[in-house]
Amino acid sequence: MKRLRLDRLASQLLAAQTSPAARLLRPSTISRSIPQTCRHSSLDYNSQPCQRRHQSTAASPAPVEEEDHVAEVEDGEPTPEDLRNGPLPSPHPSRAASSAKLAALHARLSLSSKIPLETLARALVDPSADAHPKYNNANLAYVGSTPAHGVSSQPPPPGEEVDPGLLQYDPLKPTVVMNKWGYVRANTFESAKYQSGKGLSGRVVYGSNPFGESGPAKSLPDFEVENDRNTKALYLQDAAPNAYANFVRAVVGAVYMHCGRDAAKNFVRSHFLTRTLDLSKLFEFKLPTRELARLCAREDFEAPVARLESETGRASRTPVFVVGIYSGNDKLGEAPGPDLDSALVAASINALKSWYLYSPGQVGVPSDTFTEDAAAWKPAYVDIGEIIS
Amino acid sequence: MRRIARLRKPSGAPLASIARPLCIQRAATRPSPSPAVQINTVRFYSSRQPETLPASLADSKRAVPEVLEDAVEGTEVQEYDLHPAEPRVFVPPPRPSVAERADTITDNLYTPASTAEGLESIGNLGNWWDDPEHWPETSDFVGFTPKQKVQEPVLIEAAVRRALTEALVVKQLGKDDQLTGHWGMQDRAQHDAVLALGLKVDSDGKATVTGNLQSVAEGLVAKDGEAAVDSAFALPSAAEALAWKQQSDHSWKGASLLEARVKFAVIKRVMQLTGHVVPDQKLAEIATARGLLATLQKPPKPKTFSQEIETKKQDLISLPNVAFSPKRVTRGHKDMALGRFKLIEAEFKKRDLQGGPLSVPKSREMKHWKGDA
Amino acid sequence: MTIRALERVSVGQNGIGSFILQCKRLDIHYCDHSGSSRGMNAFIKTHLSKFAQTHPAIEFAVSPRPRKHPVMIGHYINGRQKSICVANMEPSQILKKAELLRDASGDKVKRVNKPVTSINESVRGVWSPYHGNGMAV
Repeated sequence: MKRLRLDRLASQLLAAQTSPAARLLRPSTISRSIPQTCRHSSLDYNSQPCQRRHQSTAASPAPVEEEDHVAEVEDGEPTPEDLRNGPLPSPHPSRAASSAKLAALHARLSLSSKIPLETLARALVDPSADAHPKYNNANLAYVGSTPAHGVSSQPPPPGEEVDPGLLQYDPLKPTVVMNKWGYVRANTFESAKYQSGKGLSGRVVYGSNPFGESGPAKSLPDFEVENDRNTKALYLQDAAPNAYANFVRAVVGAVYMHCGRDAAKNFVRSHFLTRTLDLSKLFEFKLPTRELARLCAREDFEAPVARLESETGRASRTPVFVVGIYSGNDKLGEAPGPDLDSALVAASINALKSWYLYSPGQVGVPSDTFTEDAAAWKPAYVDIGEIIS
Repeated sequence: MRRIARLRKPSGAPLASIARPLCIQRAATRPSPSPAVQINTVRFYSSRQPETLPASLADSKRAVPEVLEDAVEGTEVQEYDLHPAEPRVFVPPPRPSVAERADTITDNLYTPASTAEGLESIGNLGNWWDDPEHWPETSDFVGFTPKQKVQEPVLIEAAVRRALTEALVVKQLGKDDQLTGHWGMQDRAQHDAVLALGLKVDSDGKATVTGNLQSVAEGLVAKDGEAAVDSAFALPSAAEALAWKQQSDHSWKGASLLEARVKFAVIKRVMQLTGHVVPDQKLAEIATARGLLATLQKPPKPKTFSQEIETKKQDLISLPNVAFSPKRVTRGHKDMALGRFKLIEAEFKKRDLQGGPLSVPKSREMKHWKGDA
Repeated sequence: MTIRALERVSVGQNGIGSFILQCKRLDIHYCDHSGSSRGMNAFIKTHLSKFAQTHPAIEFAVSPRPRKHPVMIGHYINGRQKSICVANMEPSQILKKAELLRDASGDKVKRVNKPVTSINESVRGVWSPYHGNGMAV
């Protein structure tokens, strides 16, 4: 598998001080008039090599107009009114320096002074607010793609006059869904129509998120979203969380681009990995007793036996039974319950969790090998997987 | 509300000029003409005559003595065309006519009216003031000081230097009575010539001017009818004044202003050139030109606390995390910062609501203050 | 399929890893003319620039509110706000109030009667009556 070449992908992102003249060049009206499929090809006219695969190379009127604009800039000083018809979809980058909100956000996230305010302002522009890839956070978010939770922001309707310190997205327009951790297949309308998503394997294949969940949107209508890998429509269930997540990814991307990998790792560790998440509460078992029996059979343990360890108030309104599960002389798990059956189920769940939720301790991550004279990466042991499917 | 007259005639000083005998006809229509006219009072008003007075308001009873009228009839030339550039004199409304008292009437047939019906209404001005003809632009008051004060310290310094030099020239030439007279604004050449004169100050503060004093003194005296403020006169630019300041030495600032007439002349002239009025309580403590400069060059006090922050607290405003607004931040500003305003505006337009989202009816008090019913 | 994964949101503990000041914005309103704003105006003149400089993570929005008492409004990350009227106060008292707003978390004021609150499990575990040898009654 080829390694992702982030430096080449994101070289244009380092040009944080976007010149106003370049900003004025943006054909905001053109981007609305051209068809969706050739949007990237017509807008990526900058000199930087673009890594995005163009969906269409169909001829569009945009390049001709771009040349006109460039000529105009070289001839003399064009006024903003000359070059653009109508307001910009997102605040001008030059306004970033004067936004108190942005400066405060920069300080609140303890970002390095190497990261300019303009970059932070760009990280706050969701692709739904501004489709131009040089002015939204799609590329930054792709660089900093990492699971995270939003820090703070407000969702205003996007526009030129909006404070650049606010997150800008449009809930009624399509946006870019970043790839989350793990492999997630883009859920298409067709597959959603025909598959019911039964079984973990099926859900790994068809699920739209790592939890294997798919289905119709809860509150908002569905939007068709263009994706580089899959030209078919993606479900976009909630625009707001997606915009928040894109901002967080873009900030991580900005830290990576301006301060390097170590700073980005530190940032992720201090802001995200230190959050508390109880892994034992992430599971729901349907047939724990059966699963435990199969587990013991697979591992060549003796068959599990449930024993009543202690009880009180059997004839009362609130009895308590403590059930332990034994495999031979080894106790696998134990749990109290108000009746024998539920105590048995709870004990089985405890036994399964204590088997699966072992922690290998501090293990390395693949990026450790990026340093000089690092040892070859040895992946941590991952057990065989589920027993019953 | 009826507008009141913006300026009053100086009492006992009529506006007509005896220097212009052809204007007698106009003067005659005005009340209590007096031959004693001081030119200096005239120049504060634009001196253009009104074209005509409404016939209904011309007081024929107290009009011209017959002899004078005859004399005027002989000269039927329309003389106003001869002085087209001359500014018009402000004309106040005519005196109201007064009805004769019943007990002074000798006519036996006279019977007092029992009802008001059919009687002519006299004694008021009608809507004389409502006629825009009576408010000509040119009849506005022209003051001694320019309308806009000069604020650049360098220009103030140049003006003080010029005033001091001129006052000293007049003094040195022995024309002490001119120190309190009216000086014309003159042109740029004169301005530069005055500044080019040498000014030597000895240790006591006594200053002497060297150079061509005579020509400066001659140009100084204002011609008859010359306005105190001449719009044609242009001050030097700040850069020019700065260049002058760098060339000249600063010893002249020690010149004494203890002599009352010179001090008066200097302060009057500075007032005419820059528009700065030295307050009375500061007058006593000004002893030298330097002291006068210190009084004048002080920047104006900010009117509000917001202005004070804007001008003096740059260290606070320039902080990146501080957003300062000198005006109240309204609901509309917040909506604009959040991008909602354009949506609200569009909805208002869709419903054809003219006022817009921020239209709030003005307070009733505001209406009362403005004198509306 | 017997196991199903549940979606949960991780819980942030401010100060572990990174500390984020909960007060994100401080609105400072004054009146140009009213006497009750005299202390506030002096506070803006003398204390505010230093206070704002030492707290770059807070956005300070300074604006007049004519014919109203001076007020400070803190906006917090949890979406709540806390406002304090500082009419007729001395600049030093107002500085104390500003520090109070800075230190607040934005939550409603709660009574805290335990020395330690923690989301971690007890290291010693919870005593159970069903284990051990029991207690002779």
